[in-house]
Amino acid sequence: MLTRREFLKLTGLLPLVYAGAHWLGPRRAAAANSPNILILLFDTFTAQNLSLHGYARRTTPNLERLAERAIVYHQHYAGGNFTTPATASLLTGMYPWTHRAIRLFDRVNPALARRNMFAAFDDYHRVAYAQNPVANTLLVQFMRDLDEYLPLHKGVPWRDVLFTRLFSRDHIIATAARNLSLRGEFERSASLFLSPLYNRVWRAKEKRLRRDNGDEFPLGLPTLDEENHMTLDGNVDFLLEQVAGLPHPYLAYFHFFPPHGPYRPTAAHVQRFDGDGFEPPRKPLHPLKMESNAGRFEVERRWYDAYLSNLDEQIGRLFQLLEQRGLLQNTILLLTADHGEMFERGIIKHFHKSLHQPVVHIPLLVFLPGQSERLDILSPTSAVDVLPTLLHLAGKPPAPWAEGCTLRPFRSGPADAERPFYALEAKESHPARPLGMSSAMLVRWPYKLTHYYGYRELEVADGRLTELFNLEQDPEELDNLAPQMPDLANELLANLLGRMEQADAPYRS
Amino acid sequence: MNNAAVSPTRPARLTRAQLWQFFLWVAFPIHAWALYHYFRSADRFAGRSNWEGLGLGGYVVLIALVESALVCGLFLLLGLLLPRRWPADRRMAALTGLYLTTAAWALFAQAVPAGLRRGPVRWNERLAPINQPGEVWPLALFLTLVLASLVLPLWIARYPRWQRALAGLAERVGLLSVLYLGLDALGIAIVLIRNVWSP
Repeated sequence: MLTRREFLKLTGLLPLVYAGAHWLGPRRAAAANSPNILILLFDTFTAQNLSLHGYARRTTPNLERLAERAIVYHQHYAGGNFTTPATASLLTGMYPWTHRAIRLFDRVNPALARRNMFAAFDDYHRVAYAQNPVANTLLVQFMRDLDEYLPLHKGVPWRDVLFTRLFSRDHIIATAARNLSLRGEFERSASLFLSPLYNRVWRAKEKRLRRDNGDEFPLGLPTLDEENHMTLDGNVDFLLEQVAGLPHPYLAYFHFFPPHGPYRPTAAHVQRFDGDGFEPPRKPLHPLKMESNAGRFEVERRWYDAYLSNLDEQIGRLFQLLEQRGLLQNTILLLTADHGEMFERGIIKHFHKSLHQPVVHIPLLVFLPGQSERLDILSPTSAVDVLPTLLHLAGKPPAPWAEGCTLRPFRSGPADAERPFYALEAKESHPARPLGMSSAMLVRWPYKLTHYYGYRELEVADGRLTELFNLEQDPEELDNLAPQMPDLANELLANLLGRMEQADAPYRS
Repeated sequence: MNNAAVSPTRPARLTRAQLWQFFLWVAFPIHAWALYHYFRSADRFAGRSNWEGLGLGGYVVLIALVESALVCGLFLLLGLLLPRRWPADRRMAALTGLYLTTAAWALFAQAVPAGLRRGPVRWNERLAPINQPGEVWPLALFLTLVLASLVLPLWIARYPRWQRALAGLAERVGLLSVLYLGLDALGIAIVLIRNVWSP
């Protein structure tokens, strides 16, 4: 029996209960029957090297099998050629020139920070994890729109405990300071006495890890930065553990580091493509080439492909376990990448100025609940289309800021042929100023125009170069049509520059 | 023999003021080096916000402060190995001189290009054909330099004139170090704010 005093105390809580019911009750109830959304993103996962998309090496037999009950997008494009702009485009539905996260570790323009996928799903339980520190920077920015933010170190079993745990709320800057002070990232360390000691301890740890795991990982344990290590099967276990207990409906975003370099496949995969006689199409060196050591390109590509094969095996395992545990019921699963990787034209990996197909052509597979047949979408699509599509699938109104549109087959109406798609590489530009040195791409099927601007190494006025390819007839981008089709090149270029000019307008003062 | 060195009237233990003075002496090159590198790499972090740039600086000086405390403690422990009969001034001069040479070596190891640092290895390669055991030359060179570094400060600490000179130098440098410690306090505040109040 309550006393009078206790009763009065409890009545004081009534406004809070009312407010809670008002804000939480109807909001959550409205989405109770909505599907869960699970986004699996693999960093640096080019579509060009997947046998699913016709690559000569059999890198993805499991994905091929799984694709038999998925929607497969064959011409899906990233918003940029490295993690920051590309991930921000996926998460915001905006192109890099709009969201302005264009340099390594940049965040989205603060004025646009609430225009993100998680804010748009405010009646869902929203959880996000990024194993790539660069992508994690964006999640930290969107944290107020997340119900659960999983810190980077949670999915990294072998880690630099001191800096990632001691400063877990600020580990990105703390780790940058560690690299500057103790690791000697700039040849010299900012620490006079501790750095040799720290590096000695670190090397001993590395040696121990190699000794303990050398049989299974001949090239070393998979790593983010040679200091924080994980395994591909460990990532699968981590994901299953996190997804299992989520309240429904949920929007879960998991951004895993592999197959980002350094490529560290297991022993079962490392020699998978050795001596297989595979020869990639020969391509001329690009004016923006980095190096021309063909031997290195061959070895790196082979190891990357082996790592893809390793990842594919784990994707197969992941799907099997998700199904066994009933975690795919009423769940839409998206499998995609932030950007790709390349080994051609004297340009290697992805942190460079190129926007050739290997760095911007990425996979997108959508698995709908209960789907049993494959559907191939051949028309081009972009990472900025993902957010509008997810909103459509969840029965939500479109996000007014999103620059993409709902993907087929969820949308009817005119074909995508006339719809242009863009990508931008502008890591040398300042996000709060008009774009300077940059590479910008426009795809209007079947043509792809790339405009390089401000690169001194091009040795032409303004450092400009324009390339035009017909992707249908020339998917390897070998024949630059710009000199032969100047009218079309100029029309597409005007469109591209117009979009850039428009996006730059708020930054001109 | 120097009578002052064995005078029974002087206490053998370092006073609090001397300990503080020695800490400031230790902190000076560590902080100067850390801040030099922080500003040297500033362009690399120019893309970040000012608050992140300050955060980075906060951690750098925090690491420098921890390093100063650890190194100071280590040298004071080493000081226990000095003869007990040495008066405090001589003990202080010896530690000050030892730290000076050690810091100089640490600076040399980092500041001198790697090619030059590998010099002894190249000498070893040249001497190898004349039947010298492979590891002897670099080891001998290293030991000679280490011993010289140890002996020199211990030897000059015998003389009151050098003791006064080192004490004067430490006092002047200590003033600059106090400024660095002010930056440390600011750095700690920044790190705390970033870890307690940031999302």
